[in-house]
Amino acid sequence: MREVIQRLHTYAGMLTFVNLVVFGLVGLAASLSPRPHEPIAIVRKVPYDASPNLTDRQVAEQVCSLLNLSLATPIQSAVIQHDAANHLVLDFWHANGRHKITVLEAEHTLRIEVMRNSFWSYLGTLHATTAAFHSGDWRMQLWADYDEFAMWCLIAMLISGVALWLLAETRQRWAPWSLALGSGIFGALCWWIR
Amino acid sequence: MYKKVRDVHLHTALLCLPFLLMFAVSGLQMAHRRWFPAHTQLTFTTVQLPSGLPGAREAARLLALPGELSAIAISGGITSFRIARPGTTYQVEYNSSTGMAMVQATNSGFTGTLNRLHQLQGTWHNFTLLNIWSGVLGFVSFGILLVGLTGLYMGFRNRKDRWTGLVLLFAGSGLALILIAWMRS
Repeated sequence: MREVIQRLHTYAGMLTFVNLVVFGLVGLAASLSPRPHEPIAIVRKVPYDASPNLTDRQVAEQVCSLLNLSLATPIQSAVIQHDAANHLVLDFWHANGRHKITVLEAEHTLRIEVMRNSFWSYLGTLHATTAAFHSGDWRMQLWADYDEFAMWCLIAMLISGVALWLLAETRQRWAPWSLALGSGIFGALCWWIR
Repeated sequence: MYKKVRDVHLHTALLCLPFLLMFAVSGLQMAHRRWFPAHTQLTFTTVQLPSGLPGAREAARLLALPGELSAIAISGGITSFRIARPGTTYQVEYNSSTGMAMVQATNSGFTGTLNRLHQLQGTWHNFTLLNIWSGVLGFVSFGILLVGLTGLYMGFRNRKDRWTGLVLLFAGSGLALILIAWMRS
């Protein structure tokens, strides 16, 4: 019985090792993160001619395809906006940051403000992307499904890890004290924050 | 060497276990919100403070509500601000001419508290408890890495499952790393 649990515990860890490292790195980066600040946008313009009969959504899909923003799909309704001058504004948020695009029809141009996430923010987005998320990009959907699997593997490893400790032939004398210390710190912090 | 690595793996995991369970439960809650329906409780109170207080900080100090002060706005003699801690948010509107403070407290319950703790970032908050929580979670995150690396070592040292473990490691890691690199445009 113990051998089976140990095997499953080991295999779950091996299979999802990178995801666990991502979870750890994201937590560490979050703890060390500086105060949030307004990201600096890099602005560029690209030529674009919108067909006159297209709806805003059709333009959004065309622009998304033109700029290879597959990670921002499927396009949500909230993406499609208008500014004070009634220009179509497309505000795409995705794992790599944000593309805010103003369609300047008269100038036959797209004004693109790119706000790129740091690598740590990117990993943070990935760690939070699970199977409940439905992406239009197959790579992100595959990642989401695998990340969901990794989350369940982590839960299984927590349970199986405790089981392995309790079923151990020789008991570690100080192990209960580690659990007690961790539980004590957790309990104290929870009581303090209530 | 194996015994020492195993001891590090065991003690680190047990020390971090309550926090890891918190991460697991809150992660599950965020990934599957329908499984954990929100139980938000709203309460409204009015508190009489001295009139003419110079700003939100003074009003917040007198209200003595635990949490981080933020979202300060002044409009037409009304100072509004928010005091928040994981699980509880106070939205306050202070009328400087009458001294009346209207406090709306939102309590998001146990799952809401875990949700906020999971998403804590940085140690720059003006509420010390948040900085302590964030620091501790940083150590726990380091603990996750340590448990993973020691587990990897122990997996390799286990002759029976070594080759199966290696195949699973390369398959899983390969897939994950390729996707991470490919999507990072």
